Amino acid sequence: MRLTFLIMKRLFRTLSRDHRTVGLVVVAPALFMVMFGIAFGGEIEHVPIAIINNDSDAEVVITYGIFIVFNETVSSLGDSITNTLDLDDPRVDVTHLTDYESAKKEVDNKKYACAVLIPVNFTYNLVSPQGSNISLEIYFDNSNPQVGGVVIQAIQESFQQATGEFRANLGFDVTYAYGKDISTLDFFTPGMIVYGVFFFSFMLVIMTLIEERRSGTLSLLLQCPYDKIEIILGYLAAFSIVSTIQTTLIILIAGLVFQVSLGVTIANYISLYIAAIIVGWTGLVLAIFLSAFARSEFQAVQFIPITIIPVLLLSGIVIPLSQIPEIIRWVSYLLPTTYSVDLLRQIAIEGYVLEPLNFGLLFQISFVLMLVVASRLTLKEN
Amino acid sequence: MQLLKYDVELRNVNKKFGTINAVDNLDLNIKQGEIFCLVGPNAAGKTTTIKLILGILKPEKGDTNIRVKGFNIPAEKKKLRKIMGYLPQRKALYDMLTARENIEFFAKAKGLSNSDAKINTSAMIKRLSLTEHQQKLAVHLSGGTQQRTALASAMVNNPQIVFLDEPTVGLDPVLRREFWEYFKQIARSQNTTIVVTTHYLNEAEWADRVGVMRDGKLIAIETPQKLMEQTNQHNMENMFFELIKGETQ
Repeated sequence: MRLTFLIMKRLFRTLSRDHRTVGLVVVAPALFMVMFGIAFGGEIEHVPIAIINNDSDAEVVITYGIFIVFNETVSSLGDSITNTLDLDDPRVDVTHLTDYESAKKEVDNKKYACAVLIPVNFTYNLVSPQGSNISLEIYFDNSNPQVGGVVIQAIQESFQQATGEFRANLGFDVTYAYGKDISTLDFFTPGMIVYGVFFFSFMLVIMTLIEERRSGTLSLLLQCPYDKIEIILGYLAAFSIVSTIQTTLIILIAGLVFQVSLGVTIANYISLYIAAIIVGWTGLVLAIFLSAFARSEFQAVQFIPITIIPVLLLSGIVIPLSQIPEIIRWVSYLLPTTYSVDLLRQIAIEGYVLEPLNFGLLFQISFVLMLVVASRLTLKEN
Repeated sequence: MQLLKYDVELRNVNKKFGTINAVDNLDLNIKQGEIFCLVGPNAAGKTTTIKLILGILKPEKGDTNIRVKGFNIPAEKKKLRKIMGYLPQRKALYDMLTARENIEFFAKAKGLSNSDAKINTSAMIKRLSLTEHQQKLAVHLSGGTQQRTALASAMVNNPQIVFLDEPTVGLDPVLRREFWEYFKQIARSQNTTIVVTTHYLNEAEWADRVGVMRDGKLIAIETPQKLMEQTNQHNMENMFFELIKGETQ
């Protein structure tokens, strides 16, 4: 027991003298739990939807046999539903449009999660004995089933609440813009590519660079007649290949073992690889930059709570951005991986082909360039 | 470009780490083709001096006080690096590359063409007796062989000025002697300027000139023989203690 006690005492003494470790012991679990609590504690809210309400008040004639019993004006149920969703339901933000076809295009363009067409004479057909069955058209983006489920639930609840006893002849005709047959695995796999590639690029590069610095090879590289930028570009080139291999493995295992399809056309797959390589770059440049502030592998590991954990919890990999409270959502918008996850999901689920002026792509490339410049300044022997 | 009398000149160079003067008002001239040895106790400023000349560290008063003949520093820093060699204190090798791969990597990184890198690597392997170890991973080499590989990597571009920071530390006396014979051979045959730091004071006797450092200051600079004569000592170790004693008093 003497040695046990000595080791315990020695560990406390050495740890307490490393201020960064003391900080980590206290701050890391607190930070982790706060991020975890905030991220998972929120509800999916303010999802933008479009409603085309062509309904109006209805003159309903109630008859008994050949006798007209009475006429009644029924207020538009379409208005009632729209108002309920617009004013009382925090899950959705309603935009009123007039043209269903243009609203569908906006759903295709990801401006709205769905477009709901409330047809002409909706109220009349629903409440009048002479009315016919109604099929409500919903054009729906289910590329994120977590968000999609909440939106459909909000719409159905509002219709059921407004139509009450008449809802027997109401049906929903849902057309999917994206994600018709999406499974949980289909949805999460693009996020896992982002997480896997980012995590391994970050950890491998930060460890390798610390080893370069510790062994002295970095000193020698810095004494070579080339600009420091070439060292950084060398790492970028090498880890692009590593990211490609990792992505290929994930695609193969997801496809062959779990029947997850991550693309349809060759252009899809090329887009997927480009997006994955850029994810690798973001992890890599962050690692090069932060390696200047770590003297050992142990100190490198201490960066995990401020890099890997936020990426996992705040990039939309497991928790949709619309569920992350606004107080912390700005962090999500600063993380390049948020755009990576979005981009990879668009490619894998919606068949999107990467365009050079895609905002997410440009954001990530700007992040990479900014950190390449910063790393060139911080890449030093000591 | 100013014509310099010496290969390397330092004038009033200072470097502080916090409140400690690691290098304190250092004036130093190193001649072309000589083996110049910097000796001194731990934290005397030897490694800092080398790092200042190499540009790894910046002096307190700017770069202008450090000059290398034929080069406009810092504008021509990169050009200068092509003709410089550097062996840091640690055995700077890639563990998972073989001895040959390590040497060839640094040859190419120093700017040699692929064919020249191969030729020079083979020559260095032969010159430093690494033939039987060339295909072994660096991590599997003995300490002495690792150090020979590191030296070969530093010298593979046939540098005109070489900075060797404690190149013989941890080596057995036979290997240390071999290293110094190699230094002498290249200094004489190729007119290479060699700057060496060492803790082993008896080694300093093999240098052309010796600079003795203490607390960041150069307290003596002369040929080993003259230093021993000036202090009435017969070996470098005693000379060193005599100098230190004089400084302390």
